[in-house]
Amino acid sequence: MPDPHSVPDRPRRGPRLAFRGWRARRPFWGGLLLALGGGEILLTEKASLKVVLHIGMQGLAGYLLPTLMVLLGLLILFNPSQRLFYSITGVLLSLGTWLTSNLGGFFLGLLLGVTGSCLAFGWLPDQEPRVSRRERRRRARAEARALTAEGAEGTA
Amino acid sequence: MASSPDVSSAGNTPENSGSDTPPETLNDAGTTTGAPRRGRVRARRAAVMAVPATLVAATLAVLTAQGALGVQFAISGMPFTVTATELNGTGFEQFGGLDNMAEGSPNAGDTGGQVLVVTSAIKNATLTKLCQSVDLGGTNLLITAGSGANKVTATDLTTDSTELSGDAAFNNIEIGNDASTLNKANAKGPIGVFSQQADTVRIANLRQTNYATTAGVFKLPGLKLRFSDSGC
Repeated sequence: MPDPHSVPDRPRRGPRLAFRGWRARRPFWGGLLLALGGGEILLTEKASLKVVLHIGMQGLAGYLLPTLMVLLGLLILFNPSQRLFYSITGVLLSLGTWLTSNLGGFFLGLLLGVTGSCLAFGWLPDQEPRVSRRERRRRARAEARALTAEGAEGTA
Repeated sequence: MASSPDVSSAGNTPENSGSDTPPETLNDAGTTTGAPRRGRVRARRAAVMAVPATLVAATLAVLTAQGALGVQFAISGMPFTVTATELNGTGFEQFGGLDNMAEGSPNAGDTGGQVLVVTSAIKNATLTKLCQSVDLGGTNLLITAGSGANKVTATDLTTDSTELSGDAAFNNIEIGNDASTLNKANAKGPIGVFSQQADTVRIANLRQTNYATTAGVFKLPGLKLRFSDSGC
């Protein structure tokens, strides 16, 4: 982490930083993994459309569920405010592909979809920057010491 | 949803007080200062969904392995091999047909994307020691099922094959029907095409090269999926 005192006056600009900022404002990995999971499942399906239509609704569901997973992943990326609904629907669809689409794209797509949905569900905007566990413990100790010192002053 | 009340309570220890004040208000994106406020995954919140989802996934896998759940496959486009030591079925139909690959498929070669196939439809089928393998180039994806006491069962099983071999026995077979008039299983072919149908079918040492397999319900007890150097 750079020293805050050495930061240039004007914030730096560039496509990479702009992307970093864009990513910071949405559950990026959640949406991406969900969309990739749907894509992977679609890649494992190659039955011709004629056969699928011949089977009817059950055959169609094999394509419908992963397609919806891709859409929900993209919606999480581009409309993050609705992420709760998208991620809950996404996790149900991901689990459903186990039955409809080649065991969830031979498990890989299902795993990606469920992981992505959980990440999107657990995401919250505008959080404190990450603090390492060691740092947290050090701060807690310092706080406790300050408190005991105050207490000692009070009794004295 | 923005949880701002704890802004001042955390990170305000004597060490770094005062230095991390305003950048995020100026510009929430492009700063590399000590404390840009970013969205973040909270582990406990994610676990609220992850734990039940994992449980459901495990339940589905267990139920499938026990044969209580039907699982639907829709792979093909690449040819794959299916073998079984024994196939028993009621309601059997067979007719010729053409399968079309997706436009511009790399598997098309000089065939114009069309594969001549024999479509076999079986209303109710029971298979012993089912094995299915797809050659992925260098390695094979191998699926086996039904080697234990429970056998693989399928309803409305339809396979589009280019090769089929085995020792077959049919009951009440009708050969030379028009494919559009078949009535023993739930499939119909195009009009004017040769076909045959039978009440029951039994094929031992079945071996098929398929382009598509579909089934209304496909129960696979004792399912095992793995990569292997050799196919079925």
